Amino acid sequence: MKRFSALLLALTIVLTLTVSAGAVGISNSETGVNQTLRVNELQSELQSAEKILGGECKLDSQEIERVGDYVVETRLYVLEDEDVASARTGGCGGVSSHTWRRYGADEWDIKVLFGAFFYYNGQTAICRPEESNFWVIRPDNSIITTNFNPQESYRDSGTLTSKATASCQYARDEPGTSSDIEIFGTLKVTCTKDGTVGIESEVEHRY
Amino acid sequence: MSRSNYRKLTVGCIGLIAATIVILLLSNLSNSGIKVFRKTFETDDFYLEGESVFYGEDKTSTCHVRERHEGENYRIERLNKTYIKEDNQYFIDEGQGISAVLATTEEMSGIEEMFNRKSEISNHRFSELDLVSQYLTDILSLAGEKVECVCQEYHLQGDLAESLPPLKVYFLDNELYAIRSRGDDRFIFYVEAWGKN
Repeated sequence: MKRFSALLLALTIVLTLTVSAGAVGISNSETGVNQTLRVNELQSELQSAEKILGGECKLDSQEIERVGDYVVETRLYVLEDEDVASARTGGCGGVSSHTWRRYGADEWDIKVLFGAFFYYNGQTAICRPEESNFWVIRPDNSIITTNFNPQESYRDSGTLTSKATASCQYARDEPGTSSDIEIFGTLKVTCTKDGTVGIESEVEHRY
Repeated sequence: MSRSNYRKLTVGCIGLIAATIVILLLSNLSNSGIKVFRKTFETDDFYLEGESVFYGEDKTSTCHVRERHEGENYRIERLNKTYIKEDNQYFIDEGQGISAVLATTEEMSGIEEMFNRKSEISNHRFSELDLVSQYLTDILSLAGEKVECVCQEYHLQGDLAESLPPLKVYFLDNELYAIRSRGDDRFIFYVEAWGKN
């Protein structure tokens, strides 16, 4: 009887652990990533955006695509109280990010962030290149300063365009001179004349 | 009018016509590489080979690319990897045998995009492209010197124009020389060979 009870107890523990592990480790069907890891990762990214924009932020948009051997997540963060902050400072900003993850892997390889700031007055929107910046981050949160070749460009709103656009093209040098560059892309943040920050979508060939 | 004047007029007219024909022929010849390029690529039955180069801040990266397109099917070799589309199925050959890329119906468009990305041009459907401008410009040669080329810039027609970066095709001495298709001008694909299959 004792042996049976011990066996039953062990079985219960194993079953409980299995169910718990299953519950904690639910995979996200779009990214194939463990849910707990993902929550932590998004929280950490949000905090980075808050540091860059200098206030409480919200996730404004998100898109997930398969690109080469990677899954790439594109997100845009803006200030939580965007309208209030804009009215107070006369300016606005947004952080656009690309997270590159090997298809099927739990951990991401590279996170690329581009923070862009603008002035607007209802008639025009103007980029503030001196305040915009580009970062590349590893999973251990260290910042990479080489090999990504960022090239920023800015276009204020005008007669032909209703939005100001700040964009940053990047491409990672692979080791060796003979190599196929797999990680390259463009991060864009736009701003309307009324101060609405957005992300420009290039439907088919973003990367 | 005297007979000799008639003869002079006739000779003059014949000369003028001959000169016009020669000029027309020459202008046609000088454009031949440019015209044949568009026609060939529109057929979806061609090969293309060359060097894909990225000019980075600190170093230049190169990758040899060989593409063969036959209708919907294609084969793209980049360094040691080959991407194959055959009868709407996708395969990758990494030198240790060909493996099929398995995907659900929803994932298929992502796989197609992934494979298209490996091509220097297949994201661009040539029959749907509009030539928007043609101009003279300098680009870097593989040897690092500036060469003056004729650049033809194509956009997708209509509303689709925003969905792809422009395709820039460069001709040196009327021969197809280089292609830029990635929207980032630091990437240049130098054409070594191309033509109908």
